[in-house]
Amino acid sequence: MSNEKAPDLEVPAFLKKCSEHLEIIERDDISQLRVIKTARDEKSINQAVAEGFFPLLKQVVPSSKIRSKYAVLQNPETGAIQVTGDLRARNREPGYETVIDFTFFYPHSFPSPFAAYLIPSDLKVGERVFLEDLIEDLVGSSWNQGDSYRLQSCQAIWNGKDFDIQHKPIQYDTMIG
Amino acid sequence: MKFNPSTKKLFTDSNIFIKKLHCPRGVQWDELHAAGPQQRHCAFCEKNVVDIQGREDEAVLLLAQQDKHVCFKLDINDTNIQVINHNVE
Repeated sequence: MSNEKAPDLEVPAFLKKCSEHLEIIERDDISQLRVIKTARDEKSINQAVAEGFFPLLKQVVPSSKIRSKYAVLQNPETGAIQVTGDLRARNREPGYETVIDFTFFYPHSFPSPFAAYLIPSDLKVGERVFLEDLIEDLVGSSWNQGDSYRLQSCQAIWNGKDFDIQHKPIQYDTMIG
Repeated sequence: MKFNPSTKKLFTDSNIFIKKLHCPRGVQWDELHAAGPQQRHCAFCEKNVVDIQGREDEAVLLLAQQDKHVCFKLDINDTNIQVINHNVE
């Protein structure tokens, strides 16, 4: 065994930069967070205003990064179809032919092209909250077949004017619930 | 089984709704401690999460019917899972 002292490892610059932005979230604290509601139409926004909330309005803008796929298979004799979103199902059913091959699409729709986070009057700058229904179209996770799924809810920090979203996209392979 | 990742709804192959897989705490399987065969314990809800990998549709449906608050762990790449992105209800 060598008695030489191991040289000090130099941390690459890009890793230093990443670590500056890494934020460890204590999962035990999640239940303590205030939940920020979202209103998605004129009536519910004005109702919240009447109840003392300030609506932080945002446009609902679909992201091209969020996409799911589908294909339609058909039995040419009976006309019956099967729809799938999974490449593994391509040749699963004997007697079925592909009539619409795998095609990506945007899988969500919303009641209005605008929405608002309902800000409580006592929300403090720097307060960590839970956004129950995210307005922004952010990728929450992705699957190795090319699909990318929308982030539905997440933690955020109020900066006095807007929320700083606290989320990093993950590779999608398991689901718990 | 069929699983829609956008709605997080799980169905049998014959389109019978089993349950919606939603964890408000975003718990990850690797964070849980083993609690028996194909089960891990979740300390947040004080109950076990059942790994449904390799289980038959009917068995998973029965689990969901017996306990409407049951939690499942689903592997999207399981050979028994077909991903769908359309409404089958």
